[in-house]
Amino acid sequence: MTDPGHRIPGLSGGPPPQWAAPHRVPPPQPPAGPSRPIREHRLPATILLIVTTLALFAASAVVGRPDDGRSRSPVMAYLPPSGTRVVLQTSDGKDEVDEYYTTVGMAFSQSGPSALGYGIESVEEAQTTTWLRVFVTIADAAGTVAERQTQLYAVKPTGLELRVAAWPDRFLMFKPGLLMLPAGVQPGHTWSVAGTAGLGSGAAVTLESPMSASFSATAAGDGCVVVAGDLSVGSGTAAVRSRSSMTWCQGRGAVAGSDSTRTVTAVQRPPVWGSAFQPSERGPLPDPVAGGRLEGRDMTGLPPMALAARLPPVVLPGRVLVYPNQLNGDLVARGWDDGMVDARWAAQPGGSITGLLAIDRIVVATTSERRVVAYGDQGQYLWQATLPDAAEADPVRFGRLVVVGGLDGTVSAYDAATGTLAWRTHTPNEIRQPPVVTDSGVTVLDQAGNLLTLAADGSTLASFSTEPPESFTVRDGLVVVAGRTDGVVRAYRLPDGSIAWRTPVLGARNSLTPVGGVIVVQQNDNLRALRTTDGTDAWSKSLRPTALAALGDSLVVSDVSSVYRLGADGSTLATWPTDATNLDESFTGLEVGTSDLFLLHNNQAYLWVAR
Amino acid sequence: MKTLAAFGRVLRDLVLLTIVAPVREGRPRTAGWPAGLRALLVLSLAVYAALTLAVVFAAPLRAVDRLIVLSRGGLVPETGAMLLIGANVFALALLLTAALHLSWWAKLLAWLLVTSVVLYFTLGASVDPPTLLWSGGGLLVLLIMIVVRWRRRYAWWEFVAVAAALAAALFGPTLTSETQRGVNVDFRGIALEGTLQAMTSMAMPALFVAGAALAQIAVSASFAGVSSSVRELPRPVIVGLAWLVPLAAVVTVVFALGDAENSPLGWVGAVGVLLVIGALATAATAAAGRPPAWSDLDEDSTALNYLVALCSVALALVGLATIPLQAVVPLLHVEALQSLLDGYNFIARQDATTSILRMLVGGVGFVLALPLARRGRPWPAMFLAAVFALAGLALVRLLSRTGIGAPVAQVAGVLTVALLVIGGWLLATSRLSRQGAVALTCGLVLCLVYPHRAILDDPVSAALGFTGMGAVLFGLIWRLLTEGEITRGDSPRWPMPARVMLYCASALLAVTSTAYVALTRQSGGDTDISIFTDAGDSLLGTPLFITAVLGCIGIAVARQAGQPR
Repeated sequence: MTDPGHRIPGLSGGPPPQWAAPHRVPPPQPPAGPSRPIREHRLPATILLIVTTLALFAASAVVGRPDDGRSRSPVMAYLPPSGTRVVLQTSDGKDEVDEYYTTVGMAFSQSGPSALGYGIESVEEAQTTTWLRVFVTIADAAGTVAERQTQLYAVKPTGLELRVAAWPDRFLMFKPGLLMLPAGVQPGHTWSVAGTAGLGSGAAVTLESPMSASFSATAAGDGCVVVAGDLSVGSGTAAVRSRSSMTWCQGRGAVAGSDSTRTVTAVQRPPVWGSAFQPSERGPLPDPVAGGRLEGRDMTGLPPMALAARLPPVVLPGRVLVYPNQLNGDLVARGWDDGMVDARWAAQPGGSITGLLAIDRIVVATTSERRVVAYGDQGQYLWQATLPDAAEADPVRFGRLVVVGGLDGTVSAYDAATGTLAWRTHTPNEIRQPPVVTDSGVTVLDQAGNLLTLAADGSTLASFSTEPPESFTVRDGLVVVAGRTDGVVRAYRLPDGSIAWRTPVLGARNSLTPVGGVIVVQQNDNLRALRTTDGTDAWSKSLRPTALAALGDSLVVSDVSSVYRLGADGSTLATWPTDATNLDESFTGLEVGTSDLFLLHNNQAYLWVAR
Repeated sequence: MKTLAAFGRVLRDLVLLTIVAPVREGRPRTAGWPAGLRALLVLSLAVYAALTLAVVFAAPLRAVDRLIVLSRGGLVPETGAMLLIGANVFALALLLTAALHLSWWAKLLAWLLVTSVVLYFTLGASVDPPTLLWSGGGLLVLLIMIVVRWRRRYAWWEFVAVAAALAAALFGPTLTSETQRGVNVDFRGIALEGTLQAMTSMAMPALFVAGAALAQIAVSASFAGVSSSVRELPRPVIVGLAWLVPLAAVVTVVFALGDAENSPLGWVGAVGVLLVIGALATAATAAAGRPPAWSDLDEDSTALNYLVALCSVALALVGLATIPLQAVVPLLHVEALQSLLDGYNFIARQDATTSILRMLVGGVGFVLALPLARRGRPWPAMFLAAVFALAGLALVRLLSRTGIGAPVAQVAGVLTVALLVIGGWLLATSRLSRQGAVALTCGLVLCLVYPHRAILDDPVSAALGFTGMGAVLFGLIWRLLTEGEITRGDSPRWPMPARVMLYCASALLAVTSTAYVALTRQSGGDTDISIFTDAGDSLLGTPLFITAVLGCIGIAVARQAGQPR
């Protein structure tokens, strides 16, 4: 600080300023040099310190990095990156979508089907081999799935070996693997394989037969090679023979093929069934009443399926739960009544799933690879789009649109049926709060408190600044924001942003949920309801809320062990206990599906059923 | 033209006094340093620069680089992860090398910190127990280093040995684990998130002090501006400004009174807290036996800021040391130790703990600073009184759940009214001296400027595309540029090489936490460092502001012997 009113020497012409209080302890002097001369080796010391530091950073770059297996076999050059989908048109008027996933280690198996276990010779092989898994879906223009297949290949230094091909009702396994694409394959190469083929269903092999196959490669131009093969399973006159061909292209996978029943060719367009998935209006809400109960089930299917979800699953019509599997980035669909069987379907959007949304029969996932990918209710790939940055807030439905708020502040709206980008706009800062949809538009709020309310055509209905949010919601023309930097909940009027009311609410404000005429504030050990009209306290309830969902004019809330239905006045309409005591650990979600209420916690799902 | 030139000189003085002089005084001076120390400083600065660039260019980096998924769902660019892990390990090696030459408790704390970081790093490899020998061996080498180098002089190779042992302990298990390879998950995210959680606690004092940087500059700039204006500007301009400043103050207060954001409870809290601080500050000046002087306000607050910050986050630092204990103690079946840990966990979980701790820091600090006041230095006691009173109000707010508080705008409003009333009274009683007028003007300018100290935060954050980064980045760079003075001291308990390495490690830890939040876009989460810088602004900045204004009032009302009226 400066002594005002005094001339400071050194400024405006004088010597440099020396400002120290008279009583200040004089600054310590630099230490005197060593008392006796020491050889310090300054140059080697400097070099060694630089090398050491660089080594630390080099180690940081490589240690813990997963092996993508791309350097392990020359044949990897033919395979596209994980999460790539190749759309192929079939000669019988359908489309086939092949979804590629390559990994080193066990992750390929953790969404099933169980038959993939037959492709592994030993645990050690499973852990050290590069695996290629291809999900194949064939469907017609109506979206009816004609065939679903999972293929497992071992990517060996010698080439690509087909180990297992699994359908929902049967599977075929080869020992040794069927060498489909040798390393360094050149036009003119021929090779053959002999061994055993096994036919099975469920998790058991029912028939094993000798198998032989011969292959030849021919050039197809543009870095591609056609591999034609004859496969014979069985012996003598009972042997079943088939002839097929596949065209493999560098970096693109199998782009064409044929067998005795059809031919397929890669096309650069969305699948034919896209128009079959038009989002319809939401169905009736469930009405769980006091007489019912929660029925719990573990939704993990047959081993080696291992569901490890970081986000709650979404619910599709027909009580199908779609889990985002954290272990490998798959979507895994499990029917409520399916029991201990394989998944209904699984898909690999690519990367890790960061957000999930169900719109009628459509599942939309956002991924760490800055993508939005949509599937139909049978796992039919519908469309994908690229985001400028990843999104951590769940996407939301806005009429026919899917709205995604990104960590770069971008707000993107896509047509849910086609994936066409309807509009895109920006807020200045990152968006971490899920957008809120009301009759008047979709409202997004970035972390600095820049608010936008947008119409269905992307036009701006409101734009103003609020406090940086911890959470927010929109109700009755008010944007209610729990400020992150102070203990106040404020209501701003739309569209001008003037303050309607402000109420101090100390402690965490994890979510704001509008119900009837109140806004329910989710705190760590409390629910507190503020009147929408003036922000005054309506009621509070002492419980440890783990998940909340509005259900018409009532609120469904879970604590560590039970689910409650509360009226807008705070009265308890119903209580349903669960067998869980730890709903505060990991994620817990309440999913209000069409006519159904689910409580979701890790792999456990609870469905409300009438007694 | 003359007036314009005078304004130019005022501006130049403002920049020189507020920015240039602290930087000139605060930079480290490397002359006479032992071998290797300068290289470590330069390497630290290079890493610091790389991390700062990572903050600035986080948005484009996120757009082009592969994103790694963290255990709780966050996403960090691959290059950023490498930089953050490397910087963390580098800072940890610096910290541990520094600890070799510090007191036993610093050695213990540093070793426990390393152990907890090693636990996070080796989590994935723990299914392969033999690979943990790397960690055990590395930690053992570090222990041996601590013993062997006890009370020895700094030698450059110590850093190399510590870094090698640390690298073996951290990276060895993951590199050699077969199971880890078989599972093949990206372990960098888990390691980074865990490490940052541990290291952020260490960075907290530095982040707190960085958060107060804007407050310090606002105070310095206000005083320097008035000082230079009085000196350089023509008299008619000064007279004009002397009317303009109170007028602006009146307008600001009127607007503040009408602002719906300023609740009645805020005004009550502001008045109450200022009365308490005023009473304690009066006691401190009474102990000094003299009225406040400009020299009181000239006290360098950096050391006191660090002390207050360090004591205020002591519980978090202890928590860091308990991470390995939390794993080990249950296995030992020692009831007393377990009870101690449970007691710590219970205390740490309570909402009121932070406010109580800060009250204790302020209250005990005030009492301890009174002897200093009696020796003619009342400012630390005044500052600690403000820390005590503000923490006390925060506790009342928490316990009463009424929303009572003292927002800065309202504190500034009450102080403005006090300054205006006192000025009017002095004027009416013909007791307003020139120095008194200058002091009151300083106080008014400060009250006008201080609430807007973070005015550049929003545009800078918008330019960076990430919330709250402008003020944080500024505070950190300001600290780096102005706090090198700490490296100039030397004593057997705090030898100079250890000071240099602590200076580097502390700066790196803070900027690493900042880069992590910027690269992952994790605003509002557990690791959001703006929480700590905001806390620093309120814990250290607001008391500085209040004591500065109270000091101005004290100077104005004190009868100055021989002072012309």
